[in-house]
Amino acid sequence: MIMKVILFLSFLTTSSLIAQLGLSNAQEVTDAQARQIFVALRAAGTSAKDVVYPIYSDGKRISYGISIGGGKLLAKASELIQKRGLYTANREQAALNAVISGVYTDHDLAVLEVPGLKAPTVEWADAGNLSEGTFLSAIRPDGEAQAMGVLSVRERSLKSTDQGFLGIEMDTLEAGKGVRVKNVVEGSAADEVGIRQSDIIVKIAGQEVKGFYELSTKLRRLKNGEQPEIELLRNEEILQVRPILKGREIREGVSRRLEKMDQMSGGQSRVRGGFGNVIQSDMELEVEDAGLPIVDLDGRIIGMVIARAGRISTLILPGDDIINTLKNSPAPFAREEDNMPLDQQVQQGVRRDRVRRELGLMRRMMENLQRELERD
Amino acid sequence: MLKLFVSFLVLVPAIMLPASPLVGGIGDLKKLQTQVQKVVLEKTETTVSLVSPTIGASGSGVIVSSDGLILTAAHVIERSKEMTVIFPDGRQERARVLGANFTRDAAMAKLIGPGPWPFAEVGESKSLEVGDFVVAMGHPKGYDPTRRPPVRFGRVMNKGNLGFVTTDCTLIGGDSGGPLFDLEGRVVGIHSHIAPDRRVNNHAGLSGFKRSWDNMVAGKLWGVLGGDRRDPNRPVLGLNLRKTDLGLVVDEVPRSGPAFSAGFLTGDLVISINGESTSEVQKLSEIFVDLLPGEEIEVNFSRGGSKLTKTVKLARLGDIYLNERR
Repeated sequence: MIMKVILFLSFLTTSSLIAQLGLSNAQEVTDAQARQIFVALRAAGTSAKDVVYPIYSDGKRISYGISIGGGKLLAKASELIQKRGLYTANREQAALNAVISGVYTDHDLAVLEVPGLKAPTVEWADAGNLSEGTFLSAIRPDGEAQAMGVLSVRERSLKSTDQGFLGIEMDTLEAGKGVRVKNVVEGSAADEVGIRQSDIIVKIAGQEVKGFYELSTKLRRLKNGEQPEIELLRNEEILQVRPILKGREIREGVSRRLEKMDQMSGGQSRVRGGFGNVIQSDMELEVEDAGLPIVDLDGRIIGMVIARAGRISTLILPGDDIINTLKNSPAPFAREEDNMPLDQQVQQGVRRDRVRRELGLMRRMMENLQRELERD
Repeated sequence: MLKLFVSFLVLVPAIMLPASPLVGGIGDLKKLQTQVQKVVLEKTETTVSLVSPTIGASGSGVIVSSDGLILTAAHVIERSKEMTVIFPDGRQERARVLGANFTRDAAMAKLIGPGPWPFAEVGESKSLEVGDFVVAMGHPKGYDPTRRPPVRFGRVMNKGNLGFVTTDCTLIGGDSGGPLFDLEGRVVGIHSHIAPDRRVNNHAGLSGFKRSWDNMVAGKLWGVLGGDRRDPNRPVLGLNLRKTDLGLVVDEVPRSGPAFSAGFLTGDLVISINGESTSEVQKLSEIFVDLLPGEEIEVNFSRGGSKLTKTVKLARLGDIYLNERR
């Protein structure tokens, strides 16, 4: 991850001169280097810059959208649907009203109609064969990269229900031959084929497993609906079963400590998980940078920023996935207020802001209460 | 005084700038990308997740020899005797914890089993310069079967005390103990701790690891996370030194210390320890970070113009100073 340079000249005071001398010089070096990199990246942004547009509300840029032809922009839905008076600006800096006409809730995508927008249509490139470590950058309308990073994790589903779920509780401590079943979830795939408590699972899909991590990795890399052959040991007898895996419904808890680490490291998108297919990058963006097109060093547009998901993670919807999504029509989205006179829209907004403030207050109170409880 | 610093300001960047790798255009970035992809391709499988079977806490580690030596962070192993090792493909093995130098946040473990294991070579952190490109890997937020270790790319932003290196490769809990690679794929750092600023991610430098190597292989556990000059288990010579224009001069020799028995006198000028110059106090404390009480060290010093050498067996701080004061 390389951050866009914010030039900052610190004034040295004599007391901390020595301490700052080292730091400011190091920063001069890294800042100069970042400038070189971002100048070089302009060559990769030439086609992306023409298809990306800022989205404003209340005079503030809240997101970006990508031109998908016919005067339409594609953007991150959850950042827009609660905002009023959306508009974009064309290359002549004229404001153009943007109205959400449909949403793809599964992908957190919104289609905005922008009458009068004359923009080229994005050409998505295939991201499926990009390897980890590929350089990626997010391109702004002015052709500069907002951030540069690498492909950290290749395309994968973040939906737990896509992963295979057998329905057993395993012994995490024991490691050796097989994995002992501690408990079987009622109605689960394991239950259906008669796996019982104290059975020892020794093989899955022909491969031996010698611990919790090996078995759970194999299961979670299988898909909902697959039927792996499982070999188990019961009273020194070998049995074979073929359960039909279900989807994993278990929500994994994130520790408070990790949450704090993410929170202290900047803003995070409200919707930042559960995507069916995303690429993860380490590029450092802000919540308002959702919707930026992502290019590789050849300038191919391989996807769109869909979420800022914590200190180490920006999530990208792959272009080929977007193409498939757009083949279906979005769910219609219409807000009464879009057709209201402007003063009524403002009134609605004021009311909504008040509710949001009060919700924030309640949330803080809840957190305080929670902390009090923990202290006891 | 001010003049001196002004000339520093002009001079230092002039020396440092050409050292940081230059990026002239998109072609240079493509070359850089090829190097990064190669490191990732070849070194991913050496980056393991380490789980303490008793506490359940998890961190990362990197295998650095075909017989299964693992480098990790001291705070990852804490007081565990054994760790579960999970490879990026989900394979599960066990490792025996060897030693740790907590002051450097450095630790070692050894895979149980004959190998050969996939491994990365170790490099040096002391030759790293600000602006050098680096690749970080690890298992952030613990082992996740849906992905391989996420790749982070960045640069050396600064170099700190005790050989710690700061980069802008973003890290988070679970990454601790994971490897920082140079573009040749050599391990140059081990992830240690972060600050809220996303550009401040700290790694224990490999050069420091190397200085503590033998003691860690031997299973020694010592030092304090973050360092503590009053740690009673800290090794000491038993010399009170004063900084002068000439160097470090012996101010006082406590009778209970090993330096007294070795015959040190007030006024002796300490030149080097184990062949390393002690012209700076900072340097002196760094030498001791890798040593333990009971180890013998060679001290070169000058007395009345003649150069002398003495071997001294280090004592525990607590046995000399704290008792004396009580």
